[in-house]
Amino acid sequence: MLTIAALLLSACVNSTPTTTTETEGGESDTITIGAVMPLTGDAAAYGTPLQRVADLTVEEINANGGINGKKLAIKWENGECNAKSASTAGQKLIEIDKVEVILGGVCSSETLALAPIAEAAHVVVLSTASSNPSITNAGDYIFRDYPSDASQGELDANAALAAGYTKAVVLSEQTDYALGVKDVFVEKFTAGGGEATVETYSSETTDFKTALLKLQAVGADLLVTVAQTPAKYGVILKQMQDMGWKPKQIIVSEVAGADTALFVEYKDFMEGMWSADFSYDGVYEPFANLMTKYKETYGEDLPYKGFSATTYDAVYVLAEALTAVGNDGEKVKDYLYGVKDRVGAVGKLSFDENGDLVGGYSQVVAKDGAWVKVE
Amino acid sequence: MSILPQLITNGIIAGAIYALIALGLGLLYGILRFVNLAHGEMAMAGAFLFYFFAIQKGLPWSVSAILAIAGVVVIGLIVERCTFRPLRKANSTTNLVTSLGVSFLLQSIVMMIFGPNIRTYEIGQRVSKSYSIWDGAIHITPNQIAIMVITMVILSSLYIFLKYTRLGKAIRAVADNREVAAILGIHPNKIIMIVFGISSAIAAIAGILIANEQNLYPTMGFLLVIKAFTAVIIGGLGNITAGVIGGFLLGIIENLAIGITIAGVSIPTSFRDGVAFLILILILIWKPTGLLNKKTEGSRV
Repeated sequence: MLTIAALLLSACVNSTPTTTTETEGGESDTITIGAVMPLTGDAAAYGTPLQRVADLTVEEINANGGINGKKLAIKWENGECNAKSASTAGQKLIEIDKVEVILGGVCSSETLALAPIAEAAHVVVLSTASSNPSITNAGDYIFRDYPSDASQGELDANAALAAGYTKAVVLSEQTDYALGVKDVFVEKFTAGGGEATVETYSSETTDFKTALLKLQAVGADLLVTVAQTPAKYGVILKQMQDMGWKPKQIIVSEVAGADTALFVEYKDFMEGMWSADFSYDGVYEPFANLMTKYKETYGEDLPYKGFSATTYDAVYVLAEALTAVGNDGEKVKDYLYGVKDRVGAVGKLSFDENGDLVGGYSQVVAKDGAWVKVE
Repeated sequence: MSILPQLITNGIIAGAIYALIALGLGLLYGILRFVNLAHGEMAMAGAFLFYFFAIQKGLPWSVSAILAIAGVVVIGLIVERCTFRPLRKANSTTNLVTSLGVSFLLQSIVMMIFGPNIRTYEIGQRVSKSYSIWDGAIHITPNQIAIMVITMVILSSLYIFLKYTRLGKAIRAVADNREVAAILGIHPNKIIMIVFGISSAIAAIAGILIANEQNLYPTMGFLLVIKAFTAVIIGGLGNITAGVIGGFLLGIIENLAIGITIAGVSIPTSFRDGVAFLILILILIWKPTGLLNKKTEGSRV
């Protein structure tokens, strides 16, 4: 019943021109944007702090003059980290609150559910944490300032080619995330003149000895491993150590790069390994101020610096777009495609032709039990 | 350098792991006449109890191993008393489904206590103690050697025990015909309890050794039992020696199948389980009683 009602509603809205929104925001002294994030459930662990970050950022913007003298406000909706709630939230924001811009979602399933609704209504969606590669082609109005999983593969391939490796062996888990990274690595590496031999394993695998042996027999200097969880690296590294194989260079996925627990057992073995990392660059001062303010306001350290930094940047980019072109989804979309090398909390921000973040991950190297950025 | 020696070694190690689980599974099948799917959880419980005593409580490994084995024997006896004994007269399908239930129950309990994460017996920086044989043609660790040796030791002691001791003969008698054995003054419930105890102890030893090789997590038992079950069917149900041989065959064939490259083409590692179950299907078509079983009935243990 609800679905039918929603369908009817969306049909009505699609037939109305979207430019009629001036009646809503025209004379008012507030510009309202929508936001969809997981505010309850497990994923509220991300959603709640990001909501606070966004609200603090809005406060900061309004204290500095707002949008051409108008106040910026966020209308919050709960996406619950699932497609059903996110699409209901999106319908509500677009049809009832008449927003032109939506911040979020956090979970990829939220963003993917928002995409077709927003695309049809010419409303911009800017996700700050969804990494699924399919968001790249989710629509013209769909943006994200968090890197796609696929961009990791590109980073790895470029680093390998730049270091002069021409022959690589790849060990990848059979999950959407890992295969996505692996496919892009192989594509870019072979396009750059490299040669890659791939071995995949199912997620249930606990015995990697023969897979590793096959890769060892290829005789490459570079091993690229893409596992879904740090725990898998625990087994892979153990079995590599036992078979006495350590090629000249090993690349581990961001999953290992974001985790320092592996160093407890493999600090020496991992020395010199490469990985990918995406987070606050540690130098952008306004974000450091926000972190201080967060701690003052909520009495705890800002968690998830990576997602928080992208959320902070996203709210600012949207505010700048609204200031420059007004509260109009289509114009904001065009503005975002023109954003180039905007300096923010995660370094330089540019959107590519798909609305994806250009670049993103930075290369890190294991050094004495820590991940150190490669310049 | 040819990778063949290492491939065969990998196969033997994997085979020994399957065989260790298959041993207990086969022993239980012989006397109960159903496949106890909860057997893998006994191994898992052993691995976690050892983790609790050795890593969390910091007890010496030998003491922890004894405590873990004793703990699993107690769990095994409780499971037997509370679930399988009341169902003694039920058919094997009922018992099979019950064992599946017990398996999920044990998994959930361990998950509640220890959480779903993968754990390891490593403490601090790990240093590999692997031996290099034939100029590095084969690498093998003490734990891998232990898995192979202990499998063979347990198999031979079990064989001697069943064949030559009074109790072993009683077990075989109950396996052959429970009613006739009872008439002759053998108490079937007592014998079944003893068999449960022995198989639980073997499972605990297996669990500790396997966890030391592949790390431990609450669902490890189910994956183990599936492969061991395949091994038992390949070798022949109800014959512990056949189960062990089936285990080694499965491990070696699996590793050779995915490891050998012919004219630049090889089977990807992700097809490893596919290879195992293909073998299973072929065996079931070609020799439904298993490679080593001459008879379907009789000589069950």
